[in-house]
Amino acid sequence: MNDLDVTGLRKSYGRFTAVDDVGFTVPAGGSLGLVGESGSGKSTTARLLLGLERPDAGSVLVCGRPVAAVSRRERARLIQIVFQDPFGSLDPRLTVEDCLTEVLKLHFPAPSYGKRVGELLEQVGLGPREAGALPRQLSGGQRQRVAIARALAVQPKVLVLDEAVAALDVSVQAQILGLLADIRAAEEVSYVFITHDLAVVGCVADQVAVMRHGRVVESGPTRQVLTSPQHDYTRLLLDSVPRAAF
Amino acid sequence: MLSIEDLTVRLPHTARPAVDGLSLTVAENETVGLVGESGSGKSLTSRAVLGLLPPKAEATGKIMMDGADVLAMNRAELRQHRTRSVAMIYQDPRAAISPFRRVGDFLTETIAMDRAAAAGLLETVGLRESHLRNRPHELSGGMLQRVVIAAALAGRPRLLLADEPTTALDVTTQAEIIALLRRLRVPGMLFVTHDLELAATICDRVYVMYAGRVMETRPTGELFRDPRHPYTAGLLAATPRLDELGTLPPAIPGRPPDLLAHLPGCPFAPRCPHVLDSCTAGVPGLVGGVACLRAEELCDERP
Amino acid sequence: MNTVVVRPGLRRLKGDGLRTAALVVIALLVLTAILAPLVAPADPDAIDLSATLAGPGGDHLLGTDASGRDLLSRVIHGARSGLLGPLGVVAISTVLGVLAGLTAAWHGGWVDTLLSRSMELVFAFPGLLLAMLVVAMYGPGQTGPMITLAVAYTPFVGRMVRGVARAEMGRPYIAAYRALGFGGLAICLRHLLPNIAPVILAQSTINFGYALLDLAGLSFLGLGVQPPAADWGAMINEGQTAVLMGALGPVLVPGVAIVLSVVAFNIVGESLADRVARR
Repeated sequence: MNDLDVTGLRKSYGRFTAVDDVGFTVPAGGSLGLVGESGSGKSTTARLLLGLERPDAGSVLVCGRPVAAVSRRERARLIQIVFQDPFGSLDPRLTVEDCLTEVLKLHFPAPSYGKRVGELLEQVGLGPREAGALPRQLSGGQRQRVAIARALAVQPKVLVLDEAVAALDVSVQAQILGLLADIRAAEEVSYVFITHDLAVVGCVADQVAVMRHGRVVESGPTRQVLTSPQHDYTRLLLDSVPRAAF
Repeated sequence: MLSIEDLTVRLPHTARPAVDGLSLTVAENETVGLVGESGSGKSLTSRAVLGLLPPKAEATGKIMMDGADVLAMNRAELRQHRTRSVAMIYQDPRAAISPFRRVGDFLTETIAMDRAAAAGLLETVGLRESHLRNRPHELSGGMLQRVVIAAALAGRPRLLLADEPTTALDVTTQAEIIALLRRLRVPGMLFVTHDLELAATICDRVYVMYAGRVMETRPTGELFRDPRHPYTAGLLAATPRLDELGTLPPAIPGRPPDLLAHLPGCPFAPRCPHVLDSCTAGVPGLVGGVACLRAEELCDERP
Repeated sequence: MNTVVVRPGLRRLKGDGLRTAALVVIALLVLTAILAPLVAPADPDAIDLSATLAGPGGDHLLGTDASGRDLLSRVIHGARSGLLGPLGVVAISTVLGVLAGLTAAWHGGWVDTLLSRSMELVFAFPGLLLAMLVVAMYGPGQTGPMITLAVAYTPFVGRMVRGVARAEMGRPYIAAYRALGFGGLAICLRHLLPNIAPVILAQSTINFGYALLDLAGLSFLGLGVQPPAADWGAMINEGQTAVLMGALGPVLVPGVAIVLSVVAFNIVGESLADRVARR
């Protein structure tokens, strides 16, 4: 069974159709790159996947279960998200430990959470020193690690990464991409990378779907789409990637 | 044209200078890249060139623009400097234009020129005269950046200071803006960015900054073919590349130092794969465009 | 080599000093109100017809009023109703305003429209006029005007909370908590409200000063706290006759107390707002 089946997704705001007949699948443990520029509808698609908004038409199935029809907490354990902005995606008042504990408390009632918090932090490469820190005491990369740990805390089947490395420095970005690859190898989780960066997609995604004006204009295996693009827009995107001219 | 000599900028409550002994030149008809990650001091440097240092910042050294020292200028001279000698393009064009004024008013009022001149400038940056009547919210980010560029050109500046001018834009728009900047041929340009590949598409020469210091400065082609500082090499390797599909770029371990850490010797030493004890003993100077004690040796080791 | 040192703005320095002074004034006011019977040199209601309209100094540090009551003692006791009234107004209006504002922001849609329109409706009535209406119907006293003013202040708080909450809701951590399966109420109370609390506190502090002024005004008009109780507004009302007789003290003393308190709360509130904005 696929981890994620999306069919015929549509969402309009007034007369503007943000997402129009979008569909794709992600096999178990797979990784899909959803590529597009601003206004392509990729972020709205993310909100629809997460059940943060209701689609006008179409369905999102995670492991065969419709996210629109399950309870809030169950949905959370099916699909999670990490946002672009490492500064805004954590509650500024909560320490890293409190942030993770709160999530664990909601989903897995247990007498104590210290051990699990420690495991989660270790998994994302953070230690006890960071556990007691507030978000503003951490670097951008560290905050993004915390956001990843918080998403992993509920053991989701699908993790949506909405421009999750776009705001990071190149040297840190490579670390986070490596971390995400390690997590995918260790856990049964599949990824949806939402990004504008074709080069990032090229190194992390098995499949690519290119979005423009709310529609998927081209999709297929990453290598095929990036080396022999069929759609003009894909070609334009590829040509726009800055490359050192030797 | 622009010559920065031994610029050091200290911010209050920090352990080390945010810009540390930086020297940089931009010659006539040259586009120079200033590349660094966040906290490298690149933006502070570009602000210093405009004479726009934050309050309480303490700057030493010289910033010579056509023979005049920016750090020694009084208010009137600075105003002259910012309108006639240097113009700046920022990352977020929406923050640079008043949202309530029409584009035409923005150009004619803030820069003091007539409508015909404004229309001419818009044409230079690839917009139409009709755009003069638009309000900022009616234009896309890329179009607004063109308006900002038009405004920057109005004073016929000697030096264009572009601080991450395309970071907030889409990839396709970025390519258009870069093409435009290349076509404009201002007498000189200092292009500040975190993106080495992007710098390579437009710059003749690149300075790579780390923790307030210049790590390496060489002509773009050379730098990319044969990066000699371990930081430059690491940064280039860490950049995801379209011609290496399916492989994860190797990361540089650790993270950039913050301003509270005092760094003896080479600032990159804690993250460097080739570090020796001698690296932290003293600050390596720029030799042959590289600030690394082992540059020669590492160069010889490679096939 | 030359060194450029940009000096800190003088304004900032002045602002800090002013804020400290305002905080000291407020602290003194609160202490005075609590300890009134202990610190007042005399009984505020003790009439001494042998010493009417005495000047400052001697037995009466700030002089006496037309009935020979000690002005210092009266102004000290007046701090009680002077602070308690606005406290009631601010407490009630903040609770109501936060409830309305948060609900409107979180639900959006028709709930938002309904709440926003009702708040605008209340907004359209001047608070003082509303209070006078209530007094005309139910008679003067402290409670009536206090509750009416609280209702009148609620839309100010509500609109502000709604705006700040909507901005805060745009930040991704709110979406992240929704995606993590937390309910709306839990997110509002545990994440949204604590993060916008500083803004609410700043606004409430400023409102406190205005409420103090409004209530004193009502008392002055004879609609609020009634004489002979020691209340600043009522004291000014009673003092009017003394002014005609050439004695400024009975009006000046409570007047200065009102102005000092209002200005102090305003300064502290504004500086809190500045601090929030700087973050």
